[in-house]
Order: sequence, then C-alpha cells, then structure tokens
Amino acid sequence: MRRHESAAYRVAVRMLGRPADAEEAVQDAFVAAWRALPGFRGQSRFSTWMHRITVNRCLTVIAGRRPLAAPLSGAEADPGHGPLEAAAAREGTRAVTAAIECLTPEQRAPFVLRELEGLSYDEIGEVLDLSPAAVKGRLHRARLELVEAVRPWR
Amino acid sequence: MSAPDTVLACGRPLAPLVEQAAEGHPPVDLEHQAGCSHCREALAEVEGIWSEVGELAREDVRARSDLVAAAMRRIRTEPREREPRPRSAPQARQPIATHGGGHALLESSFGSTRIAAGVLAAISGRAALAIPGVRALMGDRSAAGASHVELDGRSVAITLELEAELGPPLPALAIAVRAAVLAEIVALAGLADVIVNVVVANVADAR
Repeated sequence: MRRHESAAYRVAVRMLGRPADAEEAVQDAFVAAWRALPGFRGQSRFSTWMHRITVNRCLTVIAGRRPLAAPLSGAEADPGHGPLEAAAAREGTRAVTAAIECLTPEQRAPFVLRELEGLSYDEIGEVLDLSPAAVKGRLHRARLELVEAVRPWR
Repeated sequence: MSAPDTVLACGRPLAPLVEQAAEGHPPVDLEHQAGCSHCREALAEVEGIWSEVGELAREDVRARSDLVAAAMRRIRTEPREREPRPRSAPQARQPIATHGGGHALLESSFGSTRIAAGVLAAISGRAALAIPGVRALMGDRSAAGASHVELDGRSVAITLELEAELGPPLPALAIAVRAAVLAEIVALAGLADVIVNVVVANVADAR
C-alpha cells in the first residue's frame, strides 16, 4: 500500500501542482477506494484501479477550480516543502513542471501516466476509459505542446 | 492551449522529431535528417527537453504526511450512515463474525467465506516487513507471520511484535506499520473493522 500511496501522490502532485491539493486528493482517493472495494472485482490490476480513482479525483479538483485558475507555474508553487521544490529549483525540470501544468487536464493525465509513471498505452486507456489509439493521440499532442512550451525557456 | 504545428526552417514538421525523442522511433527520413542542420538542431533540443522529463520522472516525490493513515482516520471517524448503499443484494455489506475462534467469516446470500487467523497474520506480517525500519517480527511463533490475531465479534484485532531499527522515531514507524497493515487487510481480506496494535519489542542497530 505504501507503493500505491507514493504512486498516487506522485500522479496527484503532477496533475494538481500544489502539494497541499495533491495530499487532499490522495486522501479522498483512498477513502473512495476503500468505499468502493466491495465493487473491485480484480478485472484490472489494483494499481490501475487506484490510478483511475486518483486521476478522476484530480480531474474533479481541476474542474472545480478552473474559473479562477491561471495555470500555476513551478515558481509560484508552495514554497519550501521538501524534495519536490528543492529539485524543481533546478531550471530544467522547473520549466518542464511548469509546462506540464499548462497542458489541458485531458492531455496532462496521459502525459503524467506515460512519461513520469511509465504506464503502457493499454494501462492508461484503462485508467482514463480511452482506447489505446486515443491515448496515443492525446499523448502525441501533449508531447508537442510540452516541447513548444519549454523551448522558449531554453 | 493549442499546439502550433511547428514547421522547421527546412520545411519539415517538428512533431516526428518529438516522437523520435519520446518513443525512440527511428527517423522518418534518415537521409534528410542526417544532412539537415535544422532537423539535427531541433532534435538535439527536443532530446534535451526529454532528458529533463526523464529527470523529473526520477525525482523522489513524497507526501509530507502519511496519507494512508489520514484516510484511514477519516474512514473510521465518518458516521456509518454515510457509507453508500450496496448496489445489489450479492454485494450487500458482509457481516464479519468469528467462527470457531480461528476464522473471519464473510457472509453473503450466495455463501460464506472464511479466512483463517493465520492468513490474516501472514498478510499483516508481510505488510509490516515491507516498511523500512522494521527488522523482524517477533512474538507468537504459532502464527505464520508471527503476529497475534484476535477475532472478536465483528472486529479483527491484530497485534504485531516487532524489532525496529534503532534511529528513526518509533511512533512514526508504528503509524506506518499500522497504516500498511490496515490497508493490506482491507484490500486482501476484505475485512473492514480492523485494529492494529504495534509492539516495538526490540531495537537493533541499523545494518
């Protein structure tokens, strides 16, 4: 379960930007998972199922805050919390982090699951309820968007 | 944000170079790429960005607090009536009872499932040993996983005696063990009413 916790948190913090939001979303996801456990039939791997709940929770949070949200850049994130910020202080990953937050949620989810978590197209399809071909399409756009967003920083 | 379909100075699109860097695809037009400085320059740039994506993926990102434990606290303090109604009869809430002192009993209208105390001990032992800082399990040798399992009415109380590494704070270690065991018992055995007692019975220097 530790493994699921850290994976869920990694995904949530990349999806949401703010560590505090990510922690709350992961807690919500665990509570939801626990409640839904009787419905878990082992039709997919537990980790895939957990990703699905976490990502859906994050998408709900993003949808809820959209009206007031200019995308949060890495520089504006909660200051001074642990290794994420310490590492993000390095210019290169900070630009990438900021660019990920500029992706639309529909592109961000497959990007995070593929490029940062290393899931297969099939697994991402299961998490997001998409065909592997649709995953591939979104990922393609997301990568291009990201490169376009990061290039001016370099 | 809509991605402009960037075209390089040589007239070739940027997109295939991005896929080349991200997926390790071979060049769409090897001959052109080999001879085109624009393509090579753009590819180097994209590869640079991708190495930063890889660096980001390798970053050790951790929550500041124990999220499993926090979620479990919420589950335990939320009133029962807020639990969602079961969708259909076969999934109805499974009452847990002791059976012959040695099993947890999950009942449904289609039959019952019994899980032996030793199985719960093995599950919790494995979950506890996966926590860094737990060196060994001790105590009741008769149970696999060396933990004590008490089935009482609808609840399961698991006691884990362990040897910890000397160094990290023990209360934090106990919380981590408790959360891991709880989550694992919920996930694997389907039991909902679980108490996990942690006894730090010994410490030893880190190896």
